[in-house]
Amino acid sequence: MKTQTDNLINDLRRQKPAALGRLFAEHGPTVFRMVQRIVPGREDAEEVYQDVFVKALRAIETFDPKKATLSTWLCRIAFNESLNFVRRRKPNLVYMDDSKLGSDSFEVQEDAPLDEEIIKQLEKALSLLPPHEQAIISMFYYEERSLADIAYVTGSIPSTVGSQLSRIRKKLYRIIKTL
Amino acid sequence: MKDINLQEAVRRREEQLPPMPSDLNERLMNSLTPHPSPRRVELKRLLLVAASLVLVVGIGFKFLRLPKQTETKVVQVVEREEQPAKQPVVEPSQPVVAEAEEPLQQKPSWRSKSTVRKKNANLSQSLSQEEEVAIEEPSVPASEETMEVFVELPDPYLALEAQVQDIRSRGERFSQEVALLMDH
Repeated sequence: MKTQTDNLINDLRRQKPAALGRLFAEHGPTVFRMVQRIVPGREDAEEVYQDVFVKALRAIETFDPKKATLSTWLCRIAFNESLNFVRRRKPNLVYMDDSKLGSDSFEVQEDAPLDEEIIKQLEKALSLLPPHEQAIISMFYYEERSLADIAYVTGSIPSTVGSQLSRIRKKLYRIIKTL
Repeated sequence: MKDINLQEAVRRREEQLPPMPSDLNERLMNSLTPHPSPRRVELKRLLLVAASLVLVVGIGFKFLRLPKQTETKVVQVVEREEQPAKQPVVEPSQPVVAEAEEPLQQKPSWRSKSTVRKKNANLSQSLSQEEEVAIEEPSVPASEETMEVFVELPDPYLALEAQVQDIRSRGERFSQEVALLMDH
């Protein structure tokens, strides 16, 4: 039994204009959000957004629904296109180096209660992270994607994604201490 | 268990991101779906109209020119036929000298100074003098119809041909006159 997504993919492969409209309506906001996390500036984000869908339509024949959902597949394209754009435009940008933040054995309180002060500090610390680390944190904590999906988007494996998330969280609290 | 402070901080940051523009998908759709620009369509139409007009004008011009050419040719043929008829017929019984003057008076406007050669030098001298004078005299204007014909004829060689024939006929008449005088 074919799902709506399967029908959409088939229509996209047949280059039906109505399918394009459906694709943009259903997955456009998610893709645009992914791009915005990494690419600063509205016009640049719109440009990358269009590039993402152009690339997706060209590669629609290679999409395998068994490996990931259409949304995850599009997010992967958006993630890679956004990073490539940022590296091309701002190659000399330097982010907070992990080695300057102290040892990696810093322990973070796992079940700490809501603290407005900590939340504000964490917001500032998040802006100091490199774009790809900001995207990983957002995919896990805001979109609540699984480690497998995040691994597919970033081109990694789930265990590596888990390690990255732990390292990034500790890095954020070390940044707070330096602020 | 997730860090709730970090989760709240991420949620606040995400909400600060500007929303996606409402016309972004429409612009993307327009850029992806090919359609002919109205300017190109108009230009193609204009070129087609111009080409068809040129063709029509060219064909019409060609057809309009053809009848004029045939008309001029017809005029030339008609005038060729008419000119010999205009020359008077010389009868042996009648005095030639008197009649010879008439054709001379009716000579065309061609103002050549070439004289007609005579066989008898003595007789021809007097006659040739008269003839030279007659020939070299300002030509009597030809009839208006003849003038009009010669003016209208586009081919100058046809006009010359008519005059050459006229000169030949006059030459023949003079030779006849000489023969008659010799007999007398």
